[in-house]
Amino acid sequence: MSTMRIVVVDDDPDLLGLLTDGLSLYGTYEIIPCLDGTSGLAMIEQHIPDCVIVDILMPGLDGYQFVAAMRGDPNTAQIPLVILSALVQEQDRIIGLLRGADAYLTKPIEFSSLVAAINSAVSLTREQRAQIFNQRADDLLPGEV
Amino acid sequence: MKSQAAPVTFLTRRWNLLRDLITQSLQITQTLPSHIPVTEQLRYRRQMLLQLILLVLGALLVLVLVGFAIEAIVQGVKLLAPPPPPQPGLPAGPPPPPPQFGPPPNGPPGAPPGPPPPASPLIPLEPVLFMILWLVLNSIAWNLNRRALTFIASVIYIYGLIVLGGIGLIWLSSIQPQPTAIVFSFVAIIFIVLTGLLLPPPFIWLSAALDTGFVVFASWLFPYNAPPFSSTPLFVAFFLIAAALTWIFVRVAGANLQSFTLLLERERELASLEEQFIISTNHELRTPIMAMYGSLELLQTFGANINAEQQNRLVDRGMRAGRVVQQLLNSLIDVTLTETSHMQLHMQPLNIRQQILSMLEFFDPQEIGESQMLSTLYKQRRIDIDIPAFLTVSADKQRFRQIVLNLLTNAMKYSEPGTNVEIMATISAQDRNVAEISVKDYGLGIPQDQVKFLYQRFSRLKRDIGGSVRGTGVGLYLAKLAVDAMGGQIWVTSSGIPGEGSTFHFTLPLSDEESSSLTITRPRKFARN
Repeated sequence: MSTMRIVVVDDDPDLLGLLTDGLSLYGTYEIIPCLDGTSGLAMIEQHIPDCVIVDILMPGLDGYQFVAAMRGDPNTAQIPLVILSALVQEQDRIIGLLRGADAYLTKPIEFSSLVAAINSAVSLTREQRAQIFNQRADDLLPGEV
Repeated sequence: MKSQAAPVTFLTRRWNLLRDLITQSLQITQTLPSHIPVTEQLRYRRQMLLQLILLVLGALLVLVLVGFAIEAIVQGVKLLAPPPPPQPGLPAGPPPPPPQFGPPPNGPPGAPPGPPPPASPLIPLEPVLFMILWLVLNSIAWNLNRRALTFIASVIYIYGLIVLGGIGLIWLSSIQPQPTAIVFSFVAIIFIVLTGLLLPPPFIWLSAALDTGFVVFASWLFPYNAPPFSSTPLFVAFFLIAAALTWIFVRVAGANLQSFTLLLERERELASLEEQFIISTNHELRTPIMAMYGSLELLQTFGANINAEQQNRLVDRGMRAGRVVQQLLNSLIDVTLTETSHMQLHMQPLNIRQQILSMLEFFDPQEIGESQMLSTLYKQRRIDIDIPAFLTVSADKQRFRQIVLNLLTNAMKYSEPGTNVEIMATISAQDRNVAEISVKDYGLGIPQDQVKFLYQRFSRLKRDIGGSVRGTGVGLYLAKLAVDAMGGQIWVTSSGIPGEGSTFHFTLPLSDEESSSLTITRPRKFARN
């Protein structure tokens, strides 16, 4: 099984360390930790990872801006992306998904669920991602009158 | 705007306002938030009860006035109607006395008629002019929403009412026949009620109703020629006293209505702050809980298969996260304890420079619960110190540290990494007995219209709600409580322009005693690494 490269962006050093340790134990993952959105984007450009995990509330570039920037760049638009945030309100989830995240998870979460979400996001093809996103936009956005 | 000036709209608005006030006051009385102390709850309830009574009284008064107006019409119609022709067979007697309001006039019924009344004077112009002026001013004030103009208009209105009441009743006492007096009363009642209803704030509506009530009640109670009210000075004195009493009563009612409205606003603010606090705290707790929970999960799942170093790392991480949760809870408990009991202070002489230097040497935002503050925000940042070595204040050491750490942490959280932070202290220019300590940053600044929210518990600025800077909104609230308890003041100066930052100042009383000496070896300016 080949090693999966994952960029993890979170401003909390302890959580970043935990995700690095945990994912390394749960599978053959190579984790690239980043403490802020700007360096995260740079790492993604540089390494083109298999998946990205990003927090929302971060100093500087926040998670929403991060997702928008990533999806707006043709080089990184198709990289699987999972949001892992402490924001639990429905509106936050909707914004995150509409910006282009493949999954929106809330802290705290068990590693098994996180790994499942990563695998699910990674398994999506370009067409499936586009189809899910369009369906989601129909479901979450108010219909036209 | 003109369509709003229709009397129907005004009446509908007044009615809606009255209905809303009564409904809201009843709702709030039944559902006062539990965090408000019991004594405060009782005070609010008393206040709202008084308000309800005043509102109901005002409404009843208007009903009474309407009744008077109807009676005036009926009496006027009767008096103006031609007398029925005398029936044949009955002896012609004197005509029946004209009906009038209130009790019959004093004096023996069979007394001989007095001298003929003086001729009717001209309609008094002075009160009419006052009323017109008041109406014009008030209409302008209503449309422009100018409080000062409304106040001037109200003063003129009250004065006009006194003159109208005094002169009007003197006039009434001297004229014949009665129908003119009744028509005058009727017009006056309608005029005053309508003008009262057109006034903008509800308390002026109440004021007009009460004033009108006094005038009408007096004219009904004391018939026109009855002593002692047939005397001009007594008439004037009576109405001056009545107007003064009315004014005082209306002021009380107005103050109550205003405080009631403020209370409603405050309750709404509190509800919003609580909601905001729950969201913030939820967020602040979830991250360390995940660090704690995740570490335990990994230990449980892989404990036997990982080396000792990895195990220790997981345990350390879990412990750190636990401390974060504990510190957050401590700061919340601190707020509760400080509110419910007096702040325990151990005042002692503290050398400001020594305290701040030692604080910076081991600067740890975790001390005040800022566990998740990014280290890049405070490392590699220049902190300029400008504090004379002789400045010693009388303060509680722990609270002093808490205040400075809060201000310093805020300065770092709300400014870009790499920008300077300055800490200054000096003897206050206003009071030579206090020291003024200031913390200046070059960050986002604080908009003027939001300064008033800074020191409220759980309050965060609009831009920070849902923003990237974390916080629960208790830091400045606790800092203010501590400064107040130690006899000082805290305030902020900021242009609100990003990059110009803000400066928080607080004062503490200077101490006469010297604090324990400490050799200061640090330079005036230094950079943290």
